[in-house]
Amino acid sequence: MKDRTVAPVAGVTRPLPIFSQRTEGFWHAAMEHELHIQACAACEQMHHPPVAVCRYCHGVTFEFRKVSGLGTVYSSCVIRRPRVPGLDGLVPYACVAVQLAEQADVLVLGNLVDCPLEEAAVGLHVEVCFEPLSEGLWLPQFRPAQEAS
Amino acid sequence: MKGERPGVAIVGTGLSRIGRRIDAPIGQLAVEACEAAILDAGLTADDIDGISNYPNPSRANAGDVDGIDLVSMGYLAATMPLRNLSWSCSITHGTFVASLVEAAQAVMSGSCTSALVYRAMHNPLGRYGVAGSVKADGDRQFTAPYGYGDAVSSYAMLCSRYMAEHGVTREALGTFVVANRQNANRNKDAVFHDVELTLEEYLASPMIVDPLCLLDCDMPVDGCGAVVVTTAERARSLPTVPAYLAGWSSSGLSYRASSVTTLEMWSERASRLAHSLWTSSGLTPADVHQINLYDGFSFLVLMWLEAFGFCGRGEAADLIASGATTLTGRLPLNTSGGALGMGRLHGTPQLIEGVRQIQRRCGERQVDPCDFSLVQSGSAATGCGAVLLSRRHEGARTW
Repeated sequence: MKDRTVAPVAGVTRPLPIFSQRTEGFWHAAMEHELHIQACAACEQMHHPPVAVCRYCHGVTFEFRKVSGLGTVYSSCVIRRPRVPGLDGLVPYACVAVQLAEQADVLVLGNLVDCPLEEAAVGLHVEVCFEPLSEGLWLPQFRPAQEAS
Repeated sequence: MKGERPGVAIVGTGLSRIGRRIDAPIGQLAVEACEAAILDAGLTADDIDGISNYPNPSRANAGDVDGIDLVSMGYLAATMPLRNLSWSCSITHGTFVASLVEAAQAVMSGSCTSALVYRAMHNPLGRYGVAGSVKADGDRQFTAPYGYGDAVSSYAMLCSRYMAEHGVTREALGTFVVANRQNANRNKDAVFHDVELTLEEYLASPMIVDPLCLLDCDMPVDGCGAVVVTTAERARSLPTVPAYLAGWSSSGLSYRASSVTTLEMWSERASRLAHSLWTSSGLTPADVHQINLYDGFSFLVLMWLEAFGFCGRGEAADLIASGATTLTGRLPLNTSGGALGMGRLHGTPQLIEGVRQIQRRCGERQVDPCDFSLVQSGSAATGCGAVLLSRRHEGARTW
């Protein structure tokens, strides 16, 4: 089975996500190396970040649905100077907003890892992978999609 | 108003000292700008019965001490002092021009007669825009762990999509920034008044967050700008040429359904602001002699040119490259140097320039004729406002 993990960058301390009942499904799935996105139980439309009321049908019951983790880069940027405490050792790094294969208006943010910064560009096909945080948490990240074997 | 054609006009403008770091609290700079605007209007502080502003601190985590980090209306009213206020309004989104729109509507409806509108900004010590600490709570739990979410990275993400979709290059952004600097070089109030810029220097300037370099970001400053808006009737008895408000529109929408601002959402909201502005005035882009667009980041000017219909989608870079938006072109743009040239004052460089162009007070950078001017500030992602200014009373918006 394909290794879906990436190593953390030494010396980097990322802000830990503080999650709630609304969002915990996302983080619990990440601990299992899966990407789950909130979906409306009534109309099945997905939302990210998770919402309290479905803007498609006004439903208020949600579940977290497993997605492939495949997607396309909608937009990207490369951060050259530290913007967030603890990430000085990470610069320069790329951020990408990824359109999920399952629903194009769902954008998931991540760093682009295992990839030269010059390749962080609109249209790049990516797949999810997972980077360990502290306290047993894992962070969904993206890397260039590998050909199916 | 019986027998009078109604309408409202800007009759006074004022700027404080503006500088990278000024050895004066912004409370003092705000008083300077407001006193100057009231004096310019031929009024006194006792004539001011309305006040409107956008008070947000210049950046997150910059502190929130009144008179030092920000200037609230209550602080200004107590410090000027303004003794006769009957109407006050503090907006949370939209920057300087959106707060002007509120004041215009208050004057139009009779809630007050002469309203003061100001924007004061402070450049705190330390590297600009870098958070002291980040708590990855709320929706930030999906951005902060990635080192994403401050203003520059958020706008860089929007810019990269815009550039990719329309084939816009860094050279195209640089062409705008260099032409804009030439405008600042003609404006003694601009922080970059004495600093010339070439395209080579632009391309060599350090990248902050690709695709944005240092010179794509406006320059943080200490400073304040202010205007006075009053009834058309009152304006006629005052010493300055009134800049009548021919139309206005405002958007306070800041919610976004995803972690990033999409180009589609930004463009849709910007188009709505533009449509509302043109509809409110009965004017079209062809009527406008001079344009003032928000330039917190350079590429936003290109997107606003397209949103207002001065060119088609994706055509702003070509419009700028053609020279049409220079001082001697058919659509002189940000002739004050904007925020990129004057300093980061959230629409002040746009609004005060628009008024003074209508009043023909711009010296070597005067546009002639300048009967209609468009002024816009803010971002469609977080809130924005726009007005059309007219030299002619018959152009003023009425009920």
